[in-house]
Amino acid sequence: MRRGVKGRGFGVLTEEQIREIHHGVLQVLETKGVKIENKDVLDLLRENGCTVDFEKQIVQIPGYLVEECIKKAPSCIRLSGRNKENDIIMESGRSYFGEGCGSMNVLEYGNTLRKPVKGDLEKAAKLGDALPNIDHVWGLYSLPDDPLLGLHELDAVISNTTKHCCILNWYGRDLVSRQIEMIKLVAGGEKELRKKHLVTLYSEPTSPLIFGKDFTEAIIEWSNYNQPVIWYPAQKPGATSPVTLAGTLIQGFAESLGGNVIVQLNNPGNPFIAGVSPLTMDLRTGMNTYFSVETLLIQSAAGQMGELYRTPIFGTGGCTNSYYLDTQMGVEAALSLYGSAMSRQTLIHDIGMVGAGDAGSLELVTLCDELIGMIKRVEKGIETNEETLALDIIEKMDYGEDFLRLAHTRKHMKDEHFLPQLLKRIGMKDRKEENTTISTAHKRTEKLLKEHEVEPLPQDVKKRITEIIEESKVK
Amino acid sequence: MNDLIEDIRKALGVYDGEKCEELAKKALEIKINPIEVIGALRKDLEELGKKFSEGEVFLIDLMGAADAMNSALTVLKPAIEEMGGAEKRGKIVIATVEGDIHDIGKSIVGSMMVSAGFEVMDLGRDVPNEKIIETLKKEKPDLVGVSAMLTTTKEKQKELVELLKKEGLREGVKVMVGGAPVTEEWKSKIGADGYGEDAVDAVNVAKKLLSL
Repeated sequence: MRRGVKGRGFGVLTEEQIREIHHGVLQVLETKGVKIENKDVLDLLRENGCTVDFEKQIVQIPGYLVEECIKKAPSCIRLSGRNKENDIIMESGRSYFGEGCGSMNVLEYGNTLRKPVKGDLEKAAKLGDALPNIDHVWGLYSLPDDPLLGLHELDAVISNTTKHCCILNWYGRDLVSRQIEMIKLVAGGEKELRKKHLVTLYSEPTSPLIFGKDFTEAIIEWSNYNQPVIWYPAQKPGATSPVTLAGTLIQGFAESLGGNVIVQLNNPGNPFIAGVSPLTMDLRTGMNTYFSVETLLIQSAAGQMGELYRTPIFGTGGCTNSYYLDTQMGVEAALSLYGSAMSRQTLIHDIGMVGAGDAGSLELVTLCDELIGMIKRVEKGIETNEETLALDIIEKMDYGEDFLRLAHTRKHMKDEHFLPQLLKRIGMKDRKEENTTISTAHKRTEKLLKEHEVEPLPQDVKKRITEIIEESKVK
Repeated sequence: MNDLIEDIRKALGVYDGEKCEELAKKALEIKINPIEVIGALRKDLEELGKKFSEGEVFLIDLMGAADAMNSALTVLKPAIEEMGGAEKRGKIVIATVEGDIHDIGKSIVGSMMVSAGFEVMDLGRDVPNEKIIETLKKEKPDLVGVSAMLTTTKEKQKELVELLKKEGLREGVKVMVGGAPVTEEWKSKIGADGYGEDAVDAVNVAKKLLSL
């Protein structure tokens, strides 16, 4: 089992504020309600005590139901990989890291952009499988002109990693049912499909307060099979949610927990990952961002709400607004990654996303792998015991003597000091392009893609998956 | 008369839509030329748009101003039409395609188009192509812009172009497409006229297409 990182909990909200926000959430759901463009779901909610205006498609969800469903949502979810050793445990306070999804361009090492092909999703998955600190694997890229994108994405990811997989694209019940079929093949049957959670689906409401038809259908279909779902509002403060961060948190969590109500009523105990996107819009220009200072605040607060609800919280980190492998990328990816981990977000994704989501960079994914290593070291903290207090060492040493030769130094160096491979410290004489972090990250990326081997899917499973895709094309 | 135009310009300057609406009604009452009123407001809005492109004015200000402008326009439009219409700046119909409910991007584009002096009719979200065609026949705009956020719903943009051809309307209107999964290549592939990567780009492309 992969252990992830237990975050330190950088909490910006006080206990009182957490309560205030939760009360706001209940108020919004109970009084304002959400618009749900799906008659089956409206019926389901009505049957369970909600006030429904079928004509306007508005549902008001009473507070007791919201809280009941929070309790029903499992606090501890095992997400599996094809290799059981790669299983991860979703529980509040423990963080796991994965790449982004859905970008429409590949940012290559030389800072050129090109359109992705299926092979790029496969590479991204393979890289995620190879990197030691990536815990769940996503495709990073999109194939926007391919109507079977959802099937290709799933195929690319599940074939190229034995870690837990996550996917973005479904669109339409027809496609979702084929995806379920594919996962069933990998799991080994219907029973195994329900028990093993091999793939998590990402879906989202449309802020403010609309649950779109297809999006809602997807989480219903997915939870019909007890599959884990993420329901992640991507509200932009000042554009599709209140400009104030507190108001954004309230609206966002209202949408998030509204989704949980649907999922729990449909399948009590269905794995559900809550949360709100911390990404904002630059209100000066209308540009969407993949990092801002507000991101750090929202991440922190979202993590705290997750502690209150004891549900896993979806997180965002390791991404940037920059379209280049440059300073901005380094700063933003590091801050967002560190922020999400310190905020104790559970399933942290979006590693490798650049250009505010327009592109994906494999080099950035590799760089973030090292950053996660650093985060893990911070989490480990400072050990205090007889050995580490080193009083007898200090006692024994002569005044002015060096510690480099000591057995004690050799013994503890690797535990106490993180040894970066990419963020190198070199001297003046070695100052050259090929020793820069990004150059080293590129070399490491290439090496891993070349040398890493993924245990392939069983031949008959892979064959049948390919057939399903072909059959879908014929339609 | 100058006082009222001064006042309504001031109201626009602080993005007070209610005040603009009130003063527009007053203008009609005291028989001030509505075309002059709108003309003055349009100039101010264009000035604002210029400042926006220079980074001096923010998007939220522009959206506020466009809203205030629309409040005045709604009141004055019937009177303007009676007089034979205002200076032709370009009439645009915008919509988010059927099956798609994302419209923040389109709303931003709409407001920026208003700031650039266009007359904008926003049909909202989840708009079937049939409704768009119906509107085009009735309103006869110079340009129609359709937005899609999902890889699946952008297909509707392709369908719209085909429908326009079928109905014999294609030549009479410029078609622009936009949205997250939309690209320059997609625009060319489906035979649309313009694509804007973001709202600012969209306005510039629209201006070019309408030779403004």
